[in-house]
Amino acid sequence: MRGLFQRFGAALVYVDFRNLWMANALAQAAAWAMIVTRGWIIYRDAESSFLVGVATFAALGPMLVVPPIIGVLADRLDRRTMLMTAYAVELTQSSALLLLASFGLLEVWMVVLAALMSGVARATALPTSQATAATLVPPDRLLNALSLNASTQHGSKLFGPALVTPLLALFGAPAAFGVAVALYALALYRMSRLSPQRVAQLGERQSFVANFVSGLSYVYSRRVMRLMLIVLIFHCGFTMAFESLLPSFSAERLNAADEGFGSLMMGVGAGAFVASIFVSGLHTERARGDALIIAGIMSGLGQVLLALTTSLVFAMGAAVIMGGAQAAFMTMGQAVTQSLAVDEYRGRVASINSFSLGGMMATMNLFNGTLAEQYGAQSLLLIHGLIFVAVIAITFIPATGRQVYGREPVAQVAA
Amino acid sequence: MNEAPRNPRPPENTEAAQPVEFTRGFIAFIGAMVVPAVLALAIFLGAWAVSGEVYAAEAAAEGTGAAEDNAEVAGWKQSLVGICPIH
Repeated sequence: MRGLFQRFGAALVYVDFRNLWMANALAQAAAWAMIVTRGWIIYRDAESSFLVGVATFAALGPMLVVPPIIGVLADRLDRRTMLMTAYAVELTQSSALLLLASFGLLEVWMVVLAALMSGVARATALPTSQATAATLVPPDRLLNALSLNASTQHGSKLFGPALVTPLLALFGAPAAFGVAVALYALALYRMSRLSPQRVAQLGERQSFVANFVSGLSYVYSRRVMRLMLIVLIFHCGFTMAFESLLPSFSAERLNAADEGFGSLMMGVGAGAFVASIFVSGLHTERARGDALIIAGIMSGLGQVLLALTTSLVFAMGAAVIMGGAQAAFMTMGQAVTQSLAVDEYRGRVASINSFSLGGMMATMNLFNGTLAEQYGAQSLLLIHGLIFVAVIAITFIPATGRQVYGREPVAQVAA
Repeated sequence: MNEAPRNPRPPENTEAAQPVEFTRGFIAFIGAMVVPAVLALAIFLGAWAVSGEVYAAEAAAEGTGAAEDNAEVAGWKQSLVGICPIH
C-alpha cells in the first residue's frame, strides 16, 4: 500500500500541493454537481433544452475569453489569493442559489447568471491552479502532480453528479445546492491553508497587452515548448473534437441512436479517469517520453478503431482506448510545457494552453458537425485518426521532436 | 504525512523578459493560438443571435423547413460548447 502511494501519490507528500489538490477535487465535484442541478432546474421550470444550453455555455464559454486575462494576472498577483477569490465567488453564487431555491424565489435568469459567474470563476481557477501546481513539487514529480489533478477532473464528472442526482429526486434542488455549498466551503478552507504564491517580478512593469504578447513570445521562442503546444493543438483538432460526430456515428454506424452517444461518452470518461491515474505512476523522463508516443499513437488509432466498429460493445471498447490515450497525452503535454516554463511565465503558459486548445476543439467540433453531413462521421473519424498518427511520426524526425518525446535532453535556452 | 515538507522548491528561477520581435513566424504562431478561440466565439455568438428568430419561425410554421434550420443552429451551439474538459 505504501509502495502504491509512493508511486501514484508521490506529489501528495508535499503539504502545499496536497492542499491545492484537495481544494481542486472538492471544487470540481461541486462544479459538476452544480451543472447537473442547474440543468435540472431550468428544464423543470422552463421545459427548454435551449435554456439548458444557454446555461451550459454561460458556464463553459468564459474558458474562451477569460484565460488570457487570468494568465497575465497569475504572473503578477498572488496565485493563492486568485484561487481563493475564484472559490469565494463559487461559494457565493451557490449559496445565493441555495437561499433562493429554499424560499421558492429562484427564477431561470438567476440560474443563468449564476452559471456565468461560476464559468468566470472556473476559467480563473483552472489555469491558475495548473501554474501553481508546477511550483509546489520538484520537477520529477510534476507529471504526478498534474496527473493527480487530471484524475480529479475526470473523477469529479462521475462523483459530483452521482452525489446530487438522488438528492434531486428525493429532496429537490435545495438539497443539491446544499451539497455544492458544502463542497465549495471545504475547497475554500483547503485553499486558505496554502502558503502565499507570489511570483518574483523582474524588469519593468508592462501593459496588459504587452504582458500577454510577451507570454506568447516566450512560448514561441522555446522550440520544445512551441512544438509541444502545436502538437497539442493538432491533438485537440483531430482527435478530441469528436463529440459532434458521435451522435450521427451512433445512429448510422451502430444503429444505436438512443443509447449510443451516452454509452460512448461514458467509455471515453472511464478511459480518461483510469489513464490519468496510470500516468501519475510515471516518474522518469524516458518513461514519460515513451508514454507520450504510445498515447499519441493510440489516441489516433483508437479513433480509427472506433470508426471501423459496427457494434456498440466494441465501439465502447474503442472509446475507452480513445479517452484514455487522449487524457494521458494531454496531461503529459501539459507537464512538458510547465516543466520548461520559468515561474514568472507559468500563468501565461497555462492560459495559452487553455484558450488555444479549447478554441481549436470548439471550432473543429463545429466543422466536424458540418463536414459529417457531407462525408459521414465514420470517414472523418478514420481520416482524422490517421492524420494525427502521421503528425506524431513527422514530429519525431527533428531533434526538437525527439526532445519533446524525451529522447534527447532539452537545452533550456531560447531559440 | 504531517512531517512532509511544505514546499520542496527554492524560490523559483526567473528570467528577464526578452524584447518581442514580430517576425512572420511569430505572427503566424499568434494566429494559430488566437484565431480558433476567436472564431469559435464569433460563430457561437452569431448562431445564438439568430437562434431566437429560428425558434420563432419554427413555432409559427411547423413543417415549412424551419425545423431543420432550428436543428442546425442547435447543433452549432452544442458543438461550440464542447470545450475540452481535460485541459
